[in-house]
Amino acid sequence: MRYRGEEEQARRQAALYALGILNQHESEIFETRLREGCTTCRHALEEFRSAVRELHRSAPKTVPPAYLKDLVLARVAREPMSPTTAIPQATAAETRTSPRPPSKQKGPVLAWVLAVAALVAAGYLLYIWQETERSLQTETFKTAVLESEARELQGELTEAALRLETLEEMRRILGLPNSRMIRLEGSDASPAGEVYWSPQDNLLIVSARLEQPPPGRQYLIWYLSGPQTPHAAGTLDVQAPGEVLQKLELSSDLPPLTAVGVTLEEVADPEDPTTPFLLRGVPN
Amino acid sequence: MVQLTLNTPQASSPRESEKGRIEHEPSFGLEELYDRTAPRVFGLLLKILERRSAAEEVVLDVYTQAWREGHFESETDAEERLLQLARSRGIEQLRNTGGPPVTEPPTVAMGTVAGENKPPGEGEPRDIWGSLDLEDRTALELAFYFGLNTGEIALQLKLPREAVRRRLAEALSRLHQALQDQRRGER
Repeated sequence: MRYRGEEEQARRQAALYALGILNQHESEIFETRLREGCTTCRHALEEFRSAVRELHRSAPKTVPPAYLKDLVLARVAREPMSPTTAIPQATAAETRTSPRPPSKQKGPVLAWVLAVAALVAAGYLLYIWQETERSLQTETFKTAVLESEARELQGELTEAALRLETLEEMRRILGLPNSRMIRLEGSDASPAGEVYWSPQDNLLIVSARLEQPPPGRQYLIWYLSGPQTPHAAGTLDVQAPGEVLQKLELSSDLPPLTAVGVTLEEVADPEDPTTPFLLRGVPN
Repeated sequence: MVQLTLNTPQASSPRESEKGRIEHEPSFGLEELYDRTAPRVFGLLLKILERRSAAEEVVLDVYTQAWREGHFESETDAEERLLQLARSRGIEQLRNTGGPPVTEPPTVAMGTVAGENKPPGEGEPRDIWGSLDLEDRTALELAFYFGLNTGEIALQLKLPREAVRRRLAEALSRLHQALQDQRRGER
């Protein structure tokens, strides 16, 4: 199971890489894994790249204004020729700017001194310009990295805020008179977490320990009420350390809850559980 | 390899080989490439930027960059490169001019891309978004059209980041599957 969990993580990373939304550091890690021969990464990347290619083509076609074509052609005409055709051009340019053979007639010394001084000054200015350009590029790059990291941190902060909000909600539910706590147990009666149920708010809060589901599968939590048809209350998302902390809103017309169960489903939205319950619990 | 030329497409254009001989390589004209690809490139940029003037500006950059690159594996490869450039430059432009929407999920974009379930006509985009459920589609649109990372998507959709990662991977996987099914059906 652990191995499958890592495989799923690799697939998720490949998806983000194919979409181009990994930061530079994460991209480098993924590229290293590819170079090291991670076959899951390679296969997943091929699959996801083909999907992304199709996404590029999925936007509806819109005819641009006619003048835009003229602008494109005019701008391109001002550009240097593409590399292969540029070769003869460059040669011609070099020919045009190549120094003339030195004249046998010696010029005044002052003219030579001025020419040398002008050359030195030009060289110095060029050096200063290149240095400035280089440092500007470095700063731009650093800013981009910092911006990307700031966005990542903002995401982590949101996640922590959501987690805090869920924990607060859990604490509030525990204080309500009608709320119930349901201990989730595995088939061998081992404890696997808790579900907090607030009938007046129509809320379930799940706090459980689960391994990452295998690729293509997902955990579903079921709301059971006696002999009636089980109701799928939602998908459980396992965070990286194998923990689930999630708030699920229930529809208001459900009969009273008699038990909850968790299954590992292959089908996206089954009407009934298609596999045996991995975890189950009844209200205290 | 095919070479991009400025004028009317030619059967071949001269090229100096490594051995110093003049060889000919297949070429195609920028004008022809523009006529064939501009509606798709412009459409993609309008989806991202939602402003015609901004989209026009990026179209200019995209074709100039393609011209600088000059050589492609094939004409299809050139079109893919143009669309790739359009998306990345469009997103860059969006970030430079105030960034993507941060308070509302892109309902407008979703309506125009995925809301139509008509069968596509010849040359029309395939309705591949239709194979996704609403939540997966929203996450994927935020990533694809606005270049948001998982943290930013989590912020907008009020979901844990791991759930966003799962949704994106599943969405791409379903798209891939839908494409394969579609291709099998076409055969």
